[in-house]
Amino acid sequence: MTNSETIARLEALLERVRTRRVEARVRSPQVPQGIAVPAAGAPAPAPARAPAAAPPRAPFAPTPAVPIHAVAIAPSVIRADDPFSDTDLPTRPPPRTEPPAVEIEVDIEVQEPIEERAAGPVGSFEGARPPVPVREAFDSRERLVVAEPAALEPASEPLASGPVVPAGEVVAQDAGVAEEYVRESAREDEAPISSQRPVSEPEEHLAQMAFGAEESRPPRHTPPPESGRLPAAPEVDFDADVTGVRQAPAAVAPASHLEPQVIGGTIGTSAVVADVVGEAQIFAPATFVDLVDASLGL
Amino acid sequence: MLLDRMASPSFDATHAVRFDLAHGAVRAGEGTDALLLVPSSALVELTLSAPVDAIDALGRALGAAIGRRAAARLSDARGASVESFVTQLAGEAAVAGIGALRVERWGRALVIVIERSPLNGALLLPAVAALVEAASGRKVWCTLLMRDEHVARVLVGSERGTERVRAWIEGGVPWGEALAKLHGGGA
Repeated sequence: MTNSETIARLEALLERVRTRRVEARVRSPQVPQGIAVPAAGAPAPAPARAPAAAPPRAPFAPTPAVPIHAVAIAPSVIRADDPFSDTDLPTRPPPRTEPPAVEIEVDIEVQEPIEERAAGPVGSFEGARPPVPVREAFDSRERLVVAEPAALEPASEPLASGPVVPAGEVVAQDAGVAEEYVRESAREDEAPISSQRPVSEPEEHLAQMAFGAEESRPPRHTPPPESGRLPAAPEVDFDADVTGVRQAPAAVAPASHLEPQVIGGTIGTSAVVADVVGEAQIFAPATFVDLVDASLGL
Repeated sequence: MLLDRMASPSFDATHAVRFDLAHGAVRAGEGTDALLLVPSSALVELTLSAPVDAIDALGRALGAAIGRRAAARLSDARGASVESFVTQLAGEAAVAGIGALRVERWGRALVIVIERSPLNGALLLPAVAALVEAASGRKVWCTLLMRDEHVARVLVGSERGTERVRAWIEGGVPWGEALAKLHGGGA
């Protein structure tokens, strides 16, 4: 239950209390004990609290931020014989029987700021009501303070699933702060990351271990190569003349390097290189005498 | 063109020289001519002091003996090939000790090349001419083309041809160009 719902329920409860109070005053206009009568000249609140004169109630949406304790101190008179008091009222007025002889000291905590607020209009929905006497407001507040834990319990209902949080803190904080607190507390209780391991195996894994996998998984590692000679590398057919250098992009030399400029001479192909002097031996004497005769003929 | 012992029958030097120790004689071949082992230096000394005709006669005597023995080894000297003839000439020249003989043919010119010969030019030229005349039966003239420490080249030809070549060489023409001019290449 959220705060809005809690407020809505309290608003409904307050409306019923007011209605009953008015009805009770109409029937027997008694002044509750312990409540001071307003001084003479003070405006009588009764005509203003008539049900007919009460303005129509506005929806609760415009007042979601009203403090819970402001609702608890609304002046009201609750009769003991009210049939609704047993179930809806958080507190019950003391019975009208004679009190026991034993003295009981009731330690009542009085909160001054609450008393001051009770003297004037409280909240948007309290503005239509006349100002309540301080004593009357204090009396109502006493009973509510005694029953404070029961009245605040619905407000802490959203925190029931989380860790235990003091009720006073929840009252003072809004829902965002409470959620932040819950998150921080839960984070402190978390186990370290290194210890966050699954407690049990996944069901599929357990089923595979028990009944075997339907399809065998591929092996993670290939077997080692067999011993022996290594197979020869496949022959690559390539052209030995093509080294790839010609196809490679020309490297751009830095501008700071000097490169020689080769200047070659022009040589004609028709130049006569050899000069043949004489002619091959045509004379071939058959005998030595012929050779002697030939030499004598010179 | 070198014709030095190309595809020619080898020279048989068996019993080419016989030393008759009992008689104190040296004989060459089948002949009865007695040989005399003379120091080469003695021959050089002789050429330096002897008249030209005496030197020429001595040289011709040496060469003629070699030529006759080479021709004797040939059954048909006039029909023998150049190679066969040169082989027998070289063999007999080696036995006589005048050096290693070979033949060069420069065109039509016949050049006798003798290596490591102990004879000087005054004896060598008449000896070469005589051995060619004795072997071929032709009258030839010779002139020295060149001579160095190891080799001597001798041109064999006519009297006119050898005189012209000698004149060119004495005029400063290299012996190769002189042979070329001899074939009609020059004046």
